[in-house]
Amino acid sequence: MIAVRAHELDLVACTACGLLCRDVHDGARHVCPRCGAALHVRKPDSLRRTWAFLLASLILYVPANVLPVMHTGALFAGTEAHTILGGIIELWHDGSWDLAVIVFVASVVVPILKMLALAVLALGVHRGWTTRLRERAKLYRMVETVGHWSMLDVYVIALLVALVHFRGIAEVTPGPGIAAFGAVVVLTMFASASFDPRLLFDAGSRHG
Amino acid sequence: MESAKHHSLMVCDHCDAVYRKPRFRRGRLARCTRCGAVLERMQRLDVGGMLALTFAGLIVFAIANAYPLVRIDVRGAEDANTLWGTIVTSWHAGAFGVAVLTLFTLFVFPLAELLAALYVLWPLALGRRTPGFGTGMRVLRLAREWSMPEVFMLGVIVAVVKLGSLAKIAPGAGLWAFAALTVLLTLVTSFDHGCLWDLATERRS
Amino acid sequence: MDETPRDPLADLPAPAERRVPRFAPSLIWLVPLVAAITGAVLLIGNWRAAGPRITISFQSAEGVEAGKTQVRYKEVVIGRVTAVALSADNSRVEVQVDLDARAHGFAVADARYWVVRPRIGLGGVSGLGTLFSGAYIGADAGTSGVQRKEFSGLETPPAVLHGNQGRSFALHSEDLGSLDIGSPVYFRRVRVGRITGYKLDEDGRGVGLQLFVDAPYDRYVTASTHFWNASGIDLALTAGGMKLNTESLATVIAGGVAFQQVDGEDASASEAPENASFQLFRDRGDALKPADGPSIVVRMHFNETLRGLTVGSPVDFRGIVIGNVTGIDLDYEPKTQTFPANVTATVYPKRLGGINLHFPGAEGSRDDPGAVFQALVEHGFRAQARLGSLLTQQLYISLALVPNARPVRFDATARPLELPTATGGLEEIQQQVSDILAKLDKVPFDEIGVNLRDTLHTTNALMRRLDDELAPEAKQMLAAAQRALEAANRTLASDSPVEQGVAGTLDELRRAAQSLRGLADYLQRHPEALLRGKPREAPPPAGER
Repeated sequence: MIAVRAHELDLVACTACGLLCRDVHDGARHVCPRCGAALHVRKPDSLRRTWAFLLASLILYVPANVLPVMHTGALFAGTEAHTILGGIIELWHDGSWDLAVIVFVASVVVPILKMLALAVLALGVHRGWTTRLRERAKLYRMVETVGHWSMLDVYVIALLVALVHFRGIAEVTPGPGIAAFGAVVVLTMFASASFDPRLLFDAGSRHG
Repeated sequence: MESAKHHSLMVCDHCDAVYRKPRFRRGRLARCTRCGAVLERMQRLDVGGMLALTFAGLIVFAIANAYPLVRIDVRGAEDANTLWGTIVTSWHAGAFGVAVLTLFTLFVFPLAELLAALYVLWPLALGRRTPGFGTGMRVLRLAREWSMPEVFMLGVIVAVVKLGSLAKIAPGAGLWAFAALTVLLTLVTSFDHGCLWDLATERRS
Repeated sequence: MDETPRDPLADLPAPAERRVPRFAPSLIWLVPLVAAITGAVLLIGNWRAAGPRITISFQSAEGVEAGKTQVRYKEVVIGRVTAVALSADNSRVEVQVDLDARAHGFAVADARYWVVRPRIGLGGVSGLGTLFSGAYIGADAGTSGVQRKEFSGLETPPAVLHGNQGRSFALHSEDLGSLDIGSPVYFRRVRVGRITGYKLDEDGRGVGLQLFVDAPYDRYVTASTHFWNASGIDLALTAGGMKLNTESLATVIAGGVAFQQVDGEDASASEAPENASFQLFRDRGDALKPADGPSIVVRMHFNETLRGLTVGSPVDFRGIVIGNVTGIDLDYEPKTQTFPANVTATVYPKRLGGINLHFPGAEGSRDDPGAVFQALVEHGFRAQARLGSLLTQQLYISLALVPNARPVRFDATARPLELPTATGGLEEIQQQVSDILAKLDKVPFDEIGVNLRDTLHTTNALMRRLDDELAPEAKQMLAAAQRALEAANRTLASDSPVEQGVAGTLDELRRAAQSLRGLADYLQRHPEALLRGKPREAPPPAGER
């Protein structure tokens, strides 16, 4: 079905409070009369920002997985470095398959999927794809919903470092990998926040 | 820049489709037919209810931070950490990024969300609209995206399992409070802002 | 086709509706209520569980961490360190501790605190567990009612904790020996306690020791218990010979004290009270010998050399040690230009035993030692220095009966008692030997030799004469003797007439005796026969056919 789009009606909806305002095409910046938030027809520089964040997170994804995220030292065992994937394998070997799967999903699958999804979405806007709009909108919604679960590993490291803090017996120290990983999560979240899904429909309506 | 008619309209955030605002009964949600996004969810709760949840959330937040989350015992060496202690220890251990992220996503933003909700809802419940309503609502919007207590709960489970072989772990009062906080924060996040705005607009005049 | 522009807004579709279940909102207020109650409960619990805050100062805060280090009593956590800071003058470390509410017994004046770390001491290695769990602060409760918030931490754990069942006692000794804090206390070779402290006397003449005996062994310490130093190996080289004694391997290393009840006339079975005071004897023998009773100091004046006499040498009376030498001093006598030795000794008259009973004192009191010695001296007893053992060449003083002792003026009331002496011992032997030698010297061996020779000569001649003259006569005499013997033999042979005569006589005697006996019998039955004579034989009674 065809719905009328606010853009066509010269209406601007405030993203903060939902108030509909008439769009004034005078090139100046406008604010919402009700809540004072900046009014934008579309998120500013949406695609560019999305691509920038995406690229940054992609670059940082490499050290996040290559560098160790934590070092563990036990009484007579010396220090050992663990990467994200290494930690997942350890969990698997220790018998906690369910947790290994969860961590795998949260720390590996989700970031990759997010990056892929955003890339696809951004690409779709660039290329002006019109098919499967609804699915792509769903994809976006999924990215937004699930995105923050990648923070899981960051919290796990924070807890391990804080709890296992016994000098001489056992100690966990953070590695450089976790900072990179945290950055990846944040950047992908920024990326998805910058992407304006209405652009998808803009492309769709242009052609139809 | 507005017309009375436009107040009866609403726009889908995700696909820009325009709709007439329906007259909702309590407990119904509206979906965009074009893209499937949720347009509006009529609160089950009234403002009073929302305020109650906010209060509960603040109290639970205080408990969750005051008491240790987890107690650990490694061969007789004992330790317990609150959330704040975790952040500080991570900072001292060199994990600056981790500490900052934890601080913001588990402390600053949840607290901001609760405080903003309180700031916004309380006058509203009393029939007034606070002057900083707009700011309060914006803070709410920002905070709810970046509060992640539920991820933290899962993180605690993973960490406990990882430590299980090395030490004896026991949950502290803070952890239960944090679990309650997760639930309450989810509820607070689900307050429909459009609804609140509508209420506020009514109140203003 | 041109259509009338319709109000696009009229065509706006209505969004899809979906039902969402509802629930009663007024119950929502339960949520903050529950949260508030939980918070309040936790807070109150915390507040009630919070106990006093105290400050303990230590020399060093090694192993102590703010927020982590615990305070433990009997392995139960009673508090936690909340802050560690230097004292104002940077000399000590002040540790702030928050105690639990139930730990009010620890914020009193006589509570004690120390840091438990791995430690090696007389009791062995302790506190190894802290290598893993981290150091903790040990606490000992106090019983005083005075509240106190500032404490000075001990650097080493105390030997005795409050609540340790048992009793403390005080010992006094001449020197510390090889004892130390923690040295074991034994009773019948069972370890029952330990030394908890020692202190030099004010006048520097001895050492006071504090010891603690665990329950239930403390009841074995009675008023008549003697303690002795059982440290190390006891090797004594005395006039009695060599003696080796040791209590246990632990005492060889760590020193130790042992005790036992001494049976005696004043032995009591009542338990000694807390902090009762005892004397620490040098060794087991010293401790277990019966009580000495009062002692008196005696002084003796010797003119001979006293090499081999040492302080501690025994004073002996007929084999019983009644005292020992406490000092040997040289003196100069200008009159005789000699160097006599003054020997001071401590004597325990009670050891003389029953002798005391027979010599009551001048005032009639039996315990006057002077009186005993008076009597002994009058009897002729003198003090002599004698050789105790040829092996060790040790001398001892002996109070011995000296025959023909010169009477001496003896003052029984003087203190120190001046005992008259006589030379003796080696001197005596030397004197005797020299006397003998002198006597031998006087013997005229030459004359004796000459006389002997003459005697032999004469004897020789005599023997020859005997041989020549006496021998044949002797032979004759022997033959005559033989003949006489033979005659006697014949006379006394069994068939000789003498023999026969004798036999006949004996026979007759026998018959006579028999008749006499018959007569006596008859007379017994018929005493009237003496007067009437024997009746004629009566005819046999009738009826006999």
